[in-house]
Amino acid sequence: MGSNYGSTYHVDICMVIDATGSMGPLLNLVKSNALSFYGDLKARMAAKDKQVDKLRVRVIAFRDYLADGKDAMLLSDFLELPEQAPEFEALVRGIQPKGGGDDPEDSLEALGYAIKSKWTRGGDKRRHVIVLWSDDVPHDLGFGRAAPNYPSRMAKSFDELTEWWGATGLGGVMNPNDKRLLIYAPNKGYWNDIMGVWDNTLLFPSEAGKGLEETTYSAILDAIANSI
Amino acid sequence: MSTEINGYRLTRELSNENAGMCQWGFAEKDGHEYFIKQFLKPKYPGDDGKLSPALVQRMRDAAERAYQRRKTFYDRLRECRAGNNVVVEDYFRFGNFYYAVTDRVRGPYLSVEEIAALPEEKKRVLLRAILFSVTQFHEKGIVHSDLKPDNIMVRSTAAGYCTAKIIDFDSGYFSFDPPEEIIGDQVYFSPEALLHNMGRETAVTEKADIFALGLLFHLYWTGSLPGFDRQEHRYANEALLEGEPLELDSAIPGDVRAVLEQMLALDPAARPDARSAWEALAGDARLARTARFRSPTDDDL
Repeated sequence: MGSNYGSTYHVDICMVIDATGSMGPLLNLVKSNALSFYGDLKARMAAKDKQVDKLRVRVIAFRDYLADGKDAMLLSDFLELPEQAPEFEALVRGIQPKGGGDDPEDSLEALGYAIKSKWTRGGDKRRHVIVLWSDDVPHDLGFGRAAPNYPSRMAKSFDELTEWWGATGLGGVMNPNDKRLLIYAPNKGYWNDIMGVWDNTLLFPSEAGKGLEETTYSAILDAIANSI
Repeated sequence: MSTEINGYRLTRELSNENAGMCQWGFAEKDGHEYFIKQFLKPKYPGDDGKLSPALVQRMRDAAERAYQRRKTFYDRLRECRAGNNVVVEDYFRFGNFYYAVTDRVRGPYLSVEEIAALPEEKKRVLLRAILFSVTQFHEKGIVHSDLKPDNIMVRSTAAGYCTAKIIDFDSGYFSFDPPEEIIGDQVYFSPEALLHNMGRETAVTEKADIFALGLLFHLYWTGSLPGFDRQEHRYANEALLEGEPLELDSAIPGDVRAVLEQMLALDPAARPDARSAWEALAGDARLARTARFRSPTDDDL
């Protein structure tokens, strides 16, 4: 392909994964989905005569600042697929379910990090996609502020985090045309609020005791492939 | 008990299946069947959430402004029912979300292969029927922006001909006010739409739809898109911008091929408008020009 006018698509995906102990069996499925993601997305796009020129993925594994210390928030940089597939695989396979303290998690802080990712500016067209998996609701922002490693520059409130995400006519950190947020989590608490308020956000409600269904994984792929 | 949205009782729950960033389903109201789409942008914060009242108000004001702009578009679109345009019948907010409702279009639909296998005469009638529908909204300054096989529902009629309903105007816009990013299918994107999305200053008007129809009509006639070097270019728009002509199937009758060649011109100004193409496909080998009667203006005296 030597075209000067070839419209290039660059897609960044930030996978935000709840790594607390309760995730257990679900985490294995999430990891399996994460690892097959590149191949599945590529196949789905090829079926529509489309292709991604550059795909980068980063992973954020989150737990609780107060209960899990330095393991509360683990971030990777973006990795290019398929070139860095072995590193990506090692990273994902290394996520172990543990800790978490009480039921809610510090998932809003994880979202804050995801929103502030160093998203690609390359390509003629881009998608900046955050996919979050959790089996529980978030704490209020700042719940873990007493932890020594709690980030001082984190959004101070849900208002501020919402402004980071942005809204129609109100700006935000991310490009409004490029951003997408897909959440697989219980339909309650902050997740319900985010689905009702944040643009370009889709919540796939998880049900207690049930795993990540194949239809949900397929819907997540649809949400990305059909919006490019 | 099924969900009810603003009086529309869902007969198929909302999902994003094959739809990307929206959710859709089927609904019933007053004995009539509808297609209902929930948009994921903008959203309207409620009173019971966790945001401050000040931010809620700012977000609501912005959402309502966006809604009003879109409503103007759908209101104008409703004037384009002639032909077979499936227009938005109802556009409203319910809770946090905005919804658009159209008539439900029922299958079975013909596949591209079935359309390509039709006798020439019937294909010609089908192409003209589509162009007639397109004329209705183009002459009101509306660009569909996402014309492709998925958005033109072709059915057989009892007489053995075809009807074609044009659906999904949700990526559409007024030609005088194109969006920052043109939304559509890359396969059917016009060269100027590609340039626009690459940040180049270029008008993307109704002629972008004409280009998409040129590709689509070739597909309908032959079962495949026009030829170009697919090792070098992924899409027809790229090939044209690189100076590589599209190769039209020689089995297409000369008069139809002449129209398609013009519809697929690199320069939007060289493409016919929908009405001219409709007239040209009536069987006249020459592409009809746009000389038509008009109403007098002050400049005529």
